[in-house]
Amino acid sequence: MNNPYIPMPARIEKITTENEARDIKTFDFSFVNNEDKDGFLFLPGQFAELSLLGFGECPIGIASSPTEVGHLLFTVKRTGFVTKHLHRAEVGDTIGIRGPFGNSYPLDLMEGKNVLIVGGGFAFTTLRATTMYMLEHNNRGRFKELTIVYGARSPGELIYKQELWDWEKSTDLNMFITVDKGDERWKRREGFVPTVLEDIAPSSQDTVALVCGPPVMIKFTLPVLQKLGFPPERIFLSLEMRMKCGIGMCGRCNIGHKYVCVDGPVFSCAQLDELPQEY
Amino acid sequence: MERPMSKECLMYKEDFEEFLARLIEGHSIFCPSGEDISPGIKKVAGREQFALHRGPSHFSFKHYFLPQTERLFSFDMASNKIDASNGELDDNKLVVLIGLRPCDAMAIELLDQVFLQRGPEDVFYARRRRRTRIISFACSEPRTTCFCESVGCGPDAAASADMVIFALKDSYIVKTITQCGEELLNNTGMNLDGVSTEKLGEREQMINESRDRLEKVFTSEDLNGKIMDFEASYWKQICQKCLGCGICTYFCPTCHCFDIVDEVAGSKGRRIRSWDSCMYPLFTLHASGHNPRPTRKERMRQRIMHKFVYSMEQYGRRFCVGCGRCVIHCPVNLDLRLVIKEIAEGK
Repeated sequence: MNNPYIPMPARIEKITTENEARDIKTFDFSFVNNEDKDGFLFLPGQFAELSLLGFGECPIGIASSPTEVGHLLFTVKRTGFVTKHLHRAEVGDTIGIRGPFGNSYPLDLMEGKNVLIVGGGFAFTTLRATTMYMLEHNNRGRFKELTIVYGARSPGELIYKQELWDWEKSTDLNMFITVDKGDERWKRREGFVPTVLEDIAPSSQDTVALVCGPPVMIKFTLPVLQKLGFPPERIFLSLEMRMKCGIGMCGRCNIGHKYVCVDGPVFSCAQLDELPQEY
Repeated sequence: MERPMSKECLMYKEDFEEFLARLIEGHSIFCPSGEDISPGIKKVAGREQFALHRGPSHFSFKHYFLPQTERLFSFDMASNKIDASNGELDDNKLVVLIGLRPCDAMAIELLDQVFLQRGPEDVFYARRRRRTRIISFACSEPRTTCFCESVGCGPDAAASADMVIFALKDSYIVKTITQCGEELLNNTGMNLDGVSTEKLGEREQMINESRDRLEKVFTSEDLNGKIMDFEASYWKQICQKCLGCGICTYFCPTCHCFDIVDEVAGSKGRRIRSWDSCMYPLFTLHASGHNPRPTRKERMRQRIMHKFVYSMEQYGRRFCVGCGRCVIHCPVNLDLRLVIKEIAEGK
């Protein structure tokens, strides 16, 4: 019987500092053991526990798509004890990964429909995974129109910048990038994500909306989506909770009777309406 | 866990002594230690070490299946090597837990739901559980804090027991519940008689007297329907007295929440899990500073609703067996029975 608490060793192949504040880094991992690599089957939206021996673990969304063969990305903001030490790691260091855990974005439901992605700040990680998944050329035909609204506080805080500029030029998707406040070099849109969303007013017809961002963005985005005609069954959020085990046993990440680690992290607004407002 | 197989036979005092002696010979036997020091259970090496306590023991048997602190693995930070070997878990010798009351036995059935049945198995729990046989004792002396009947347990409940023993005045009725229980009895090679009508009557009287002693502060009907409302104003009242010490969760035989932390000395360390409690603010505090349960009100609501509402959705069971330990040990006399009564009456 396997001990589910043993992390799989993974080597850091590349580290990218994503923002001006230098507190968001993307780590690209490769598993040390081939059987771990082959066994790590996941879908966009899932997460894993990153483990630093001697420091602990923290749950982080997987930022890459399973279609990006040879890459396993996690974008980590330096926030607490474990992430602080993870940020001190260097290329070539080995850390541990446990997972994948949780559910994914509703790919089956999204198939054959338009997809609207609304993201804010550093919470864009699993939405990036979903975007990369849909843009993969074998998958692109499975989804109709793809629209992304993504924003950050300032130009320096946008993550995955090169990809954002590439997506902006691509005809495969409609990309709207905004910042709360620009600087003298900023030539693009200014304004909060919910406001920009309201201006663009994408159709809710045959469309699934995926939303992930800071609480304040979500709070103002949901009424806009509602106004645009999105029913709660077709709005999906990815939630965060303090977690330990990741497998529904340690008991701390519940919202009502749902555990975010196994029943989530992705929930539809219709599901959340049934649960206590305690997240 | 297996097909039910109920059989009853009678033991006189000397038969029971012999039964215990033979059990001790062939198995690792654990019974309540009678002491108020964790883990509250002890290995029985000789007959004289087994004593039956009144009502539920000081601690439940949760300690055996889910130790207060447990090493998940050891590691060396310098070499990045992990050592997950665990001699205790590799030992497959049959373990017999004896002397627990029906409430504590039922609690094990509830822990099974969490660690074995809902998703992937917890290897630590599963190994211990699979090698364990449970001999519970029907309860003849419930305490004033007991309320097992109100939560669907009872002085003669057989949940998760392989064998239930009824201690009568000068004899014992042994009831095997599962095939494992039957094998356990057969392997002792005891030659036992069936149970006379007279003895059955004595048992019925004993159980009835037990039932009569149980105070019905609230009844199982009070728990039916939509018993608790997340938005209700009573949560603010109920939590006023609570100190947030968490002793209720530590003594609860079904509370199973745990923390995972690393302990380090030099370059060597171990990752351990230890009991945690939803009554503590750190339990849900995010690294960002946000806390979905910032005050005692939310935490008290979580504890009670998890036991009586959420667990029904998750496992189809209420996670309370009525042992009364939370009532006994609460330093401010916050009585769960009264809380439920008040909620049921809509106060």
